[in-house]
Amino acid sequence: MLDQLLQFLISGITVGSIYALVGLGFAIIYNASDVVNFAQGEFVMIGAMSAVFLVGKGVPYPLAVFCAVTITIMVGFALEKFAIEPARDASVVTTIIITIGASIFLRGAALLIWGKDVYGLPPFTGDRPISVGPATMLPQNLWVIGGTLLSVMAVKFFFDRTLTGKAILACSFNKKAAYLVGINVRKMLLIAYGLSAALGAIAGILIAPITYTSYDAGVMLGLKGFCAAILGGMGSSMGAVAGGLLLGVLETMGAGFISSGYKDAIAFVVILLVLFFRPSGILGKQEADRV
Amino acid sequence: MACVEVQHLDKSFGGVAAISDLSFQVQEDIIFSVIGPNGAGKTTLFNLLTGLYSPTGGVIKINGKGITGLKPYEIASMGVARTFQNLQVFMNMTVLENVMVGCHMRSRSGLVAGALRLPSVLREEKQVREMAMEALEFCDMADLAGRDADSLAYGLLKKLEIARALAAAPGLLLMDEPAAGLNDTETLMLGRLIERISERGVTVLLVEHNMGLVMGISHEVLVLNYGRLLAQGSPEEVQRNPEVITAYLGDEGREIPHRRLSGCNRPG
Amino acid sequence: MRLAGFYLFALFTGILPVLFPDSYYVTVVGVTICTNIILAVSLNLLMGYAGQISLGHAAFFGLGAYASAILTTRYSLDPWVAMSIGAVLVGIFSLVLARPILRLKGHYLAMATLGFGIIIHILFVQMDSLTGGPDGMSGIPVLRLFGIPIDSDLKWYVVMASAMLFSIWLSLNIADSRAGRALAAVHGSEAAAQTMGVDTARVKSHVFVFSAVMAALAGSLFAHQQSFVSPESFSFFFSIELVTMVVLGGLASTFGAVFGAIVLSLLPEFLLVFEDFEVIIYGTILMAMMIFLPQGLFVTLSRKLHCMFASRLQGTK
Repeated sequence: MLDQLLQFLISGITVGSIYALVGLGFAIIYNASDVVNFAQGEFVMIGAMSAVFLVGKGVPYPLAVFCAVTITIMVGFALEKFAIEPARDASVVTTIIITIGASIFLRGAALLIWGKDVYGLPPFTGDRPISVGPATMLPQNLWVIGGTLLSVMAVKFFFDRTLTGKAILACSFNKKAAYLVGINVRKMLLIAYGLSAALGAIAGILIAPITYTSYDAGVMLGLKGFCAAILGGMGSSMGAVAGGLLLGVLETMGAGFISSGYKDAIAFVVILLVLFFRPSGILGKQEADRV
Repeated sequence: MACVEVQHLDKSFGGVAAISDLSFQVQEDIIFSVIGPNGAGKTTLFNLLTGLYSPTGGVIKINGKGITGLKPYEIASMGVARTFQNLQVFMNMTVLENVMVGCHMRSRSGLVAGALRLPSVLREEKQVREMAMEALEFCDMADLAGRDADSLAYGLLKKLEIARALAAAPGLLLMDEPAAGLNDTETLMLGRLIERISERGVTVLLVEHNMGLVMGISHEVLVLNYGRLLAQGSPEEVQRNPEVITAYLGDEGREIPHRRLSGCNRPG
Repeated sequence: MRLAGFYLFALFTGILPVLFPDSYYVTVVGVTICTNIILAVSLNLLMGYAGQISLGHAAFFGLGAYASAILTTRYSLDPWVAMSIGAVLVGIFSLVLARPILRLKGHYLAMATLGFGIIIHILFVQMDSLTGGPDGMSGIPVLRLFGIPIDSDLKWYVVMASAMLFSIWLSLNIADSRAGRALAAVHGSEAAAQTMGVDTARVKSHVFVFSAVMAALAGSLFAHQQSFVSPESFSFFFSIELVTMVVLGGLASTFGAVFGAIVLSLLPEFLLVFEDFEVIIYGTILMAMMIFLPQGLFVTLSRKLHCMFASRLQGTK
């Protein structure tokens, strides 16, 4: 029983790390532009698929990873430039439909390029199981957890310590004021989308050796990342990370102890409950104004 | 009986007081104006009276009935209608349809009956149309009934909001800066319209910056400053009040008596 | 006059099978189009009229279909009884769901409806003792109308086209009714609607239930027509397709939804060879429409025509 629990905890934190990275990407874009980017999951898919493709073409692994992340960042830039920017004054519903359209577009493009096959990436460093007490884990689990930790710390450093990071935060508080003090708002938005895309790509590449990937692998990951972001209180970066980890653990436990068939339902049941009873998220502040 | 009774009203937003310890009464059938500098809490007061905000403390009574905890539509069903400072016209509808929404509380039929277009619905639609046309005629807008709301000029949109509010056959009408953005002629016409509304037995609560209009048509004026009551009384009393002159009216205070002469004469 | 467009469209749907009684496009594709029109029109009531986004509409469609499938095959109920029970159950279910879900706005509402749709879809797949699991259920009995079995493509066309025209008629009536104006008011400005005495939570939940029941009835008809149901037909992607239909034609316009449903139902027929392109085309339509023509293709076109005629008339005066 206890070893089972530990085993579930390990896989829960692994999956949760991915949700955390996707949720963090959601939060960054939402903060910078008030847009909920439903195409976030496609960043994960594009990152993983590009890496698979490049590795398959014989590109050395580290270089392939670097190129895959770069490709995804370019997609992030393109998304901002061609889909978000032209509709910057649109209503919330309109931007939701635009990003959904973008996500389907990207999925469709991936389908045309890579087909419907399922691909795997070789693990970063072998696949000899490591025993942790009564449970075991793969080296790739460590890579996922470590990579997530590093990425989250880098993002935190970026927003807390760098001028650009602070400028993006300024845009999120008040775009007009940011513009008036000389911040290039458009450039900041581009950077936010690029950063968010990079996080998605990293998540996709980290998890691909464990779960495999395909043209439609981004859908669920993206939606669950969104769940993580809401769970942590929309717009709170570290909240999204905590929400992702929590969601991952809940999901794995639920799948393990209740039924694996309902694994995907758990996240959505949790999110419906949160939205119905505490719409500001578990960690978020209660919103005051309604009018 | 007082139409509106406000006792020790408080409203703060995250610790910042927008209204503090405000008490006043509005008698029935008069034009009652609330004036005060920007940020004095006038629109907040309206939002409290219509239930869009709930007070931090104090009591609001309309026709003797407390409205604490009531939803905006419940307060509306007590005969309270309002217009908005920043226009809230339904731009996705025609002029007539906008005003027909105003008749919402004076009609009954539900979604399913409407979908099936039952005979009772047809009868009611006819009545609603007549009521709405009557309100439009009262505001001199009957010829615009079929136009799309988003094709109207600003001044007409403001008037449309008034017609829509009147279509609800309110006992109390709250008007939030109806003269803002209007030219002198339009303002004059507006003053006349408000007086005609008042003559129909509607109590009018007016928030307005145009002192000529306020002093010309009001029976009673209340001055708000930083969410507190600064003065209350007839237009003459308020204009003579030295505190008001220094705190708010400034130079303009001295000009107002002249404007009044050219304004409208009203009984009592 | 008010329903001129409707009568014209009814005439058109009536003439089609007379002119082409054996055409695959009329009787087979036509039935699919009719189903999609009912769904798009019902979604438009919620999304277009009331302005409440729903990314889970396929779930109600599926609930209606499975209710009919389960009640007729496992409990041997009469198809019409099963259909009614299904509609009532979906009505109650959506009524319970309406208040908490419609209190949400914008992306929260989007997420909640989406989550709901996915949960229902997972239930269809997982509750295999009841639903047959991923393989679905077959052997759904034939529907009988006035004793006549509806067992040919042409008969189904007549039934579905009638149901479709009825749903359009309902939707047009709602637009022109007290409830419809209240919905449009909610869409325009919720605060102003409330101060006009509109109980916004109530009208929103009413239209939510109405739209859900309409979708459920369409689902029941679909189940009998196909005589087979599987979870695949009620997926998240189908919800998105329905949203695309509504958006393509133009929000808040019944005939916009009809137009969108027709175009998007015909599209796969002509793209059959390029099946893989379907996904990317949907994505492109959604994005392009919202960026360049947020009013929708049908609404924009009909406005243009209207202006052209108006200026013509003035020219002749």
